Amino acid sequence: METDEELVKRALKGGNHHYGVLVQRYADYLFGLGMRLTGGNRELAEDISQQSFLKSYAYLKSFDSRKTYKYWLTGIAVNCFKDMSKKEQQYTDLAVGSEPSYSPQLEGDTGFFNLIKPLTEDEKILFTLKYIYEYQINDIAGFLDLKPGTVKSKISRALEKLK
Amino acid sequence: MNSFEEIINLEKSISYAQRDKELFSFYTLTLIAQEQASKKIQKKLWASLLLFITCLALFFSPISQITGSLIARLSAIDMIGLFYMALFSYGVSGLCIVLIKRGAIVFR
Repeated sequence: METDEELVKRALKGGNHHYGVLVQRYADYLFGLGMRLTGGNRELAEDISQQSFLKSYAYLKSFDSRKTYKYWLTGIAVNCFKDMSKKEQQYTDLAVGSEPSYSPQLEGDTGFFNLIKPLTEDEKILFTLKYIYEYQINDIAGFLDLKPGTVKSKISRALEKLK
Repeated sequence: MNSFEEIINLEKSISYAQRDKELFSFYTLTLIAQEQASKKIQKKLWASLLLFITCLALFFSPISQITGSLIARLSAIDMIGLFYMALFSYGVSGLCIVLIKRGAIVFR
């Protein structure tokens, strides 16, 4: 089986089908991350995973092989989620209260989704990455372009909220 | 806290899967190919536009006036004076180089 780095190199040489292997390999991982961050919204989770793959392909040249492709892709997905949340926020600000609103169908185990409901978008990301995916503080700081100290304090604030 | 850990452990055990991974992959690759194609077309369009503007500028500008003034300016140049000036300036610069090299040897 080819490694991710080999596939990236081949995709850069012009083989889109090699990138297809990477898409298949990480489709479920990104979808799962999306589901957890969006609180079980399947459509949004699919959008996040697709946008992440598109962005990853667009910036494939800048992939640093000292880190794993999965790590890089996670960073992209997290930032995609942040962008989408901002856009959603703009739309909800614009929406008139009397207009019929779209309520997404939520799937998955609601225990975790209910647990992280009181958290802000940023806190949801930090909490999910730390406790579900068990990423190190430094890695999380890298994803969000934050200082490790800030990540630590934000996580402890999120835990306070959940208590 | 126990329920907190239970919820986390339960969530960790859940694995989410795309509805149709093959279709998702195919659609994503199609979008990539579409984006690449549109970028190529954009590049071609810009190149054609540039070429078109250049052609327009060439065909509609008063070329005879431009070439006429250029020839007039070139013919007005005193070639012998220019030759002497070049010879003199090259000589001076050569002399400077020799002096600098000698100076470098003396101060070594």
